[in-house]
Amino acid sequence: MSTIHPLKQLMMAAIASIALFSNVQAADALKMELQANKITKKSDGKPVSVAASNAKAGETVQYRATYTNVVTQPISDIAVTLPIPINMTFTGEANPSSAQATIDGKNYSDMPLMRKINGKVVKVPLSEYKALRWNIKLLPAKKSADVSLNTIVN
Amino acid sequence: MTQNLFKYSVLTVGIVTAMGVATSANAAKLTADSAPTIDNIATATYSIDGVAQTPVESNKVTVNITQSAAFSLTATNSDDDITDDYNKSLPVTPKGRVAFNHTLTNSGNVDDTYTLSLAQKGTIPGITTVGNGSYNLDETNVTYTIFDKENNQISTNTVTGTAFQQTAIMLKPNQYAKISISAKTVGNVGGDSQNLILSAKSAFFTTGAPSGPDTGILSNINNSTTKVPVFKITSAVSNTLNLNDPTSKATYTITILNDGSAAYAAAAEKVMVFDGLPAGLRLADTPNAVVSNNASIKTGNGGKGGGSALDSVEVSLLNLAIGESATITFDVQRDAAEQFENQKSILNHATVKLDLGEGNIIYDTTDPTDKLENTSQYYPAADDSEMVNGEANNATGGDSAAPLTTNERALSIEGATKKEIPTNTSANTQVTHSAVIRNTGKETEGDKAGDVKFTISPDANSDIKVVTGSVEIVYYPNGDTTGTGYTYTITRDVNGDNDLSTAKPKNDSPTWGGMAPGSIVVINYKVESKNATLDSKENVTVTLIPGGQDVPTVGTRVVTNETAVRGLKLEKTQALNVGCKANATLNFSLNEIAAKPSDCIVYKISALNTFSSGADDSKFTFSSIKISDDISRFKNKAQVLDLNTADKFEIKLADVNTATAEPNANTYSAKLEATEVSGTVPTLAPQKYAALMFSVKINTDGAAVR
Repeated sequence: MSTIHPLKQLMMAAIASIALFSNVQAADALKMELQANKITKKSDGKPVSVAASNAKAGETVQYRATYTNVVTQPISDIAVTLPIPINMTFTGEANPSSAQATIDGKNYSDMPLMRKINGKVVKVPLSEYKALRWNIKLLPAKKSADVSLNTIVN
Repeated sequence: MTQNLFKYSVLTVGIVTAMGVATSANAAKLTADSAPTIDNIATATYSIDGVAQTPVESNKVTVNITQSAAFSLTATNSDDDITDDYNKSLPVTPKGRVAFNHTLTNSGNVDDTYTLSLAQKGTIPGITTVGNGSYNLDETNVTYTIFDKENNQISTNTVTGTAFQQTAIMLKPNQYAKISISAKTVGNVGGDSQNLILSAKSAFFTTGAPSGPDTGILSNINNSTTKVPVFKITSAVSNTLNLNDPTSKATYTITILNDGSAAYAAAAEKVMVFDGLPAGLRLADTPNAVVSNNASIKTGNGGKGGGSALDSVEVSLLNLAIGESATITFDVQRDAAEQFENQKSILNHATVKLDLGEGNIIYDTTDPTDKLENTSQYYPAADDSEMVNGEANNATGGDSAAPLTTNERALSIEGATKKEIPTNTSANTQVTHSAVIRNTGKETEGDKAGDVKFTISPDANSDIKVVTGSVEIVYYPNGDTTGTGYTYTITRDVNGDNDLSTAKPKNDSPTWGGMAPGSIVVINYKVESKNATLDSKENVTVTLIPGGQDVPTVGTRVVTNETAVRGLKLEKTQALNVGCKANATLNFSLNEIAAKPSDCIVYKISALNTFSSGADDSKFTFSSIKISDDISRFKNKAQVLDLNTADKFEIKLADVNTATAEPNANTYSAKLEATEVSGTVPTLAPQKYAALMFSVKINTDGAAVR
């Protein structure tokens, strides 16, 4: 097995990127589809997901974003941001669970978010979470993946 | 507290489809056909070959949210039911504060603003407001504190009840506000019950309600019941004070009862009791000041009058449960540096103070004239009253003070009498002795049993006796026997005592009411004799026996009345007349005489009425006094002479002036009878003499004669 020198690998990536730049700008390489589903439980306790056009207070609404690499090249460093709407409260359930969260829409940190109050480190209430972000290193060509989070209608 | 839509005040609004309103007792629901939407778009950034690309957005997803507006207002004080809209029967003192607690919760999912207000009165099922109490909103404080659903405090404010009116609070869904009302009551007295309404008006409901501006209002009603201790204060005194005795003491007992007969009674803590003695009294040299219930007591100079002696006691830190009483005792004596206002009715008043807080201090006293008393501000009109005549006051909160009486008594007896009596008396010749009781003090004497008694006691083995039933008294109010006197009879008791209080009117005298100061009572009683010895003297002792309260110890207590036995006294003397000469000088003697036959002996019998002359001369003037001499003793040895015998000697009986005087005539016709020489004197007044004189001639055989 041959090995590639790290400097060489870096240079190859830069060349490829330049070559593809015009194509990507012409047509988005990454497509995203967002769905809102109500999560209910069947009599056997298993969750059921149905498309949510209406919801009541207290019901759980799951937002699922499916992102697809529509080009023939892999895309990298994908950051998918999914806001938590006003009038909804994040339940703490995210998939993948590696998502980061923010309470100001700018600064993201690993969950659970923590802060100091009177010198004591405490968890930030989930009701203050504004959005989640997933950082994906690589999505191969023509592949899809999705992220989701659950909220409760206030 | 567990929330329950139908137990406390709850309003909800659901906005779903068709417009409509449904209401129930504690809940209302409003629906409408529009719904807010929540849109969401995901975004992403990415790179290709290390080159950042234009961020992408997802499609927009829309969720139509069913908005639910709901809120509740709960009354959270611990009463008999913490799940209703009422805070009931919370205790409050008159003009005091009571804390009413509520929670206003936005249980919907929309922001809502609530306008809050307070109002008097309101109706709670099963509770009837009583009295004129209400709440002073200017002095009421309201604290409202907002929390998020994780119970983190968001804000807090405190305003007066007046400023609180129309206060608007915005609550996000699941936020809640704790509202604490420190309500200041006004105009309430013990037993009063008063209500206060807290209302919350939802802006969301009001805006969307088709049924009018009153829609969307929830109310809680707070009720407080006025509780306050009411005290029954009793000032009692052990005895009277003897002003003749500077060491005389009396003990006061002050009793403080937290009167449980009042339905509004409450426990009392840190009660203070003050007793300032009236002018003329001070604490005793050893006051023996004691208080029960582990309270503190100290003495001071807070009494009335200008003296500098200790004359007050103060009790503090006295705690009294409902129905519990405390006792304070201390000894007092006269303060000579001060004057009594009324020494026959000295009132010592005790005062109770209880600080209820908020500047409200109950001032309760046994003194109905004390202008500082303010119990009318704390108790119903019929409660708390004062009696100062010593009688028990059984009314709720009834206070009483028993008057202390001082006594300055002084009694003496005087006026010993000396009387003369025959050896044997008849009803007519009994004699009356007397003695005088004089009231020299400042009190009425003898009006109460035992106050003034006297005894009349003859000497042992005396022939002089007190005539049973003869004791009378004559009352001279002005202290002078020249004034008007009122006569009463007295019957001695089984102990031989005569009690003035038993005097019975005689001769239309008024009912006996005792001896006024400065008056006298003359005791009169009769004595009789039986076979008394002439010239003997017998004593009868009249003894004054003061009794009752504050017995006087100074003054004469005994009078001795003397009775001398008087009557007719005879004295026979003889004189020798040698040779029986007609004009011989006669020397009368009680002694034996040596005589010879044919000599004469002259006898003289003098009779004397030994009664003293005076007012009773008529009673004791003797009548028909027969003076005689039995001749049998010498008739065989001597011859009684008269004007018919050879040797003549006139028999004479006449009044004479002295014991030694000779009768100079036969005034009362004495003569020789068969067995005696005798004559009768018609009358013989006291201290008057009569004498019988005759002569005998001794026979020749010379026998001795007498």
